[in-house]
Amino acid sequence: MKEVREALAAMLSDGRGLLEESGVIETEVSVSADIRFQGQGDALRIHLGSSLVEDDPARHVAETFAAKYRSLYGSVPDNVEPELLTWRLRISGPRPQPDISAERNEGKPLRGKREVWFANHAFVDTTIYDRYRLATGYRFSGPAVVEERESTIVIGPEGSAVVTENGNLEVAVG
Amino acid sequence: MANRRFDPVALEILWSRLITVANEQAAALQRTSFTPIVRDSGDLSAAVFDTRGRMLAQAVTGTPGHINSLATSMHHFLEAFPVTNLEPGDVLITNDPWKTSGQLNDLSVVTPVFNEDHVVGFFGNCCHAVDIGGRGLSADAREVYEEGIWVPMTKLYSAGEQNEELIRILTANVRAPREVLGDLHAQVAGNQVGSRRLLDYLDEFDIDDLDDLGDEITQRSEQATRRSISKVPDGTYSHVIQTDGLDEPITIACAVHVNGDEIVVDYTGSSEQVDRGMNVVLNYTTAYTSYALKCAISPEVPHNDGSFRPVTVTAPEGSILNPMHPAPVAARHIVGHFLPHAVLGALAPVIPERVVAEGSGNVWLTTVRGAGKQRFVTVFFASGGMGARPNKDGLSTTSFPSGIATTPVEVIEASSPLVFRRKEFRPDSGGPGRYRGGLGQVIEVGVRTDEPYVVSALSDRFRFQAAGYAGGGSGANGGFATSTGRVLNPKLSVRMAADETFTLELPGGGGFHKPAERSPEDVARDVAAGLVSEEAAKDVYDFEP
Repeated sequence: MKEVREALAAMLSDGRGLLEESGVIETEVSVSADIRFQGQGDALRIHLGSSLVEDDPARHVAETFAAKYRSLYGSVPDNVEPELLTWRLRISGPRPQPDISAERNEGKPLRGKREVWFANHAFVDTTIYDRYRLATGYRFSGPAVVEERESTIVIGPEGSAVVTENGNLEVAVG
Repeated sequence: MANRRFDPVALEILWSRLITVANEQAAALQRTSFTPIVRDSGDLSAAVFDTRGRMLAQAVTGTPGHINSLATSMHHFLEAFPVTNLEPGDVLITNDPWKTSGQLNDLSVVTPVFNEDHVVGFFGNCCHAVDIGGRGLSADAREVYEEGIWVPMTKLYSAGEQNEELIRILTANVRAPREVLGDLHAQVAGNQVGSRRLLDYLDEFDIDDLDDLGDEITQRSEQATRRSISKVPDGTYSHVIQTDGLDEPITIACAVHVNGDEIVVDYTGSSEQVDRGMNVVLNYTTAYTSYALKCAISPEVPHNDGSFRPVTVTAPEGSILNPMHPAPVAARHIVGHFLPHAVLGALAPVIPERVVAEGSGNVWLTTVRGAGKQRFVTVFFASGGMGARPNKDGLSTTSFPSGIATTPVEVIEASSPLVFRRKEFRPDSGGPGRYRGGLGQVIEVGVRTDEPYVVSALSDRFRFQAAGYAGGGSGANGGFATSTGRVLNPKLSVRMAADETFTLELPGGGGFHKPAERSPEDVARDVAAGLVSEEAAKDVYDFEP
């Protein structure tokens, strides 16, 4: 187990070096291991947290593995030894928080009206919208057709829609 | 009439999700397995059943021999253990060849799913155990008693408690207890994962049990199968094929009676049962017969209890396709995998556009075990070529009808002392035709133990080639020899010297339509790829580069 501790310590110092070079502030260290029973082909990834780097991760592996195996598959087979394939240490800085809110669309989304056939309704006078001019927060009711370059969204006579903060169109089917 | 509770959209969602539940069951089984044959080759079946034992959905993996016979074996389980006698935490097991898939190596495991105090459905699976004691998987035995340990229908778990006595008996009787018991545990785990998913499923859709849904699914599939059968002209269509046998060839005589929306397949006229382990129990005969009919007549119908109903399979008692206990049965696939060729051969004159020419027949199952100090048992699969299709070449080195995946060389070498010296296509082994039969392959194998070993390569097509259809030529024969020039019996276990290697030459599939009709471009492409030699291109196809 001394080897494992040494290997993890080496990985930790390598990782810190890399982060330092890149000017990233360290926020998280986590250790995981890929483990299976000897003779199996698929391994489970066991997450061991961060405090274990200085502690002794190997001690916790077998029991954490058995617990995860039991929760996934119901029970643990007898008379077989666990087999550790990979130790993994991950050291990371703060996760960037990109702004994924939609561009503020402005303008007139209405393109006009045309007759559209709906089951149980026959032809209905339907509003046609331009997807790229729908502003966030905009609400409208069916029957409606929203046109965009890649596809067309049809909202039935009982349906309604709202443009979310991210620019998604949330449709209530009615 | 179909139950009106399920509108088509809801039914489609429920049905697809139920198949997903069975797929999760199989995935858990394969992930926790200890052997390449289950994990990589998929020598298994897994399915979900309603409380009446009707198979509703199967995992999209595994072999017809396992899945179709699992569907039948579930009814045997319920006869032995009626639902009212079961408790939460029970798990049932058997390897009774006559009630399951025809050999002791196949262990079937069934788990009832309880919602509080009542059964809402079942999960079952059947896996090929890498060893089951006895003489090892070969046709050697004269009686089933010699073929290994027989586990009658019994409880593997009783109210959550493992049957320790059974485990001890199994441990003492198999050559690779770690793998065998490990896989048995995987079978239990697969059913357990399935059960958990099923309870979530019933809860999500607010259903009490699977029975109403079962009525709907099986009735629809039955009706769809009947509609497909109705399109085949009525009549009796017969075909006879032969396989090598051990000493004497084996005859498979098949009569397909199509009558309205039902089919009866009768094997009267087939060989008597033999005193070597090549007998095929009726369950397994039925499994591969139904599979062949499904491939040709109703491939698009989902596979469940309903799709079997319009088909009846019979074979005389005491024949090789319906042997009486205690006939030896271990290598039943060596005959059973030929049944689709007999059935498709019978149907070829009436539905020529929906059959494939004969292929290599059974998947070759090679068992190698150490005969020195180092004990090991390894099983690997290899396939010859499939027969050509009416409009395409046959698939090379592809197992039809079993659908077993060839075990990758790397996996076998990493998990055993075997070493592969050679694994390559056999040029000219595909039967000639406008559409060429699939190619077989050559595989040379030795061991790294410096100790003698025993090999059994259950194989066939040494005497009878895969026939072409509609003027297509036959595929090449198989071969089995050692590096010292010994020609081996393909049905028996053979003792090998430590430094001796053995070579498997797998047969090719038959061609479809006359070779003269093959396009010169296709011949040129085969020659360039080394699949057809220049000599054969000239002799068979009259082709000059």
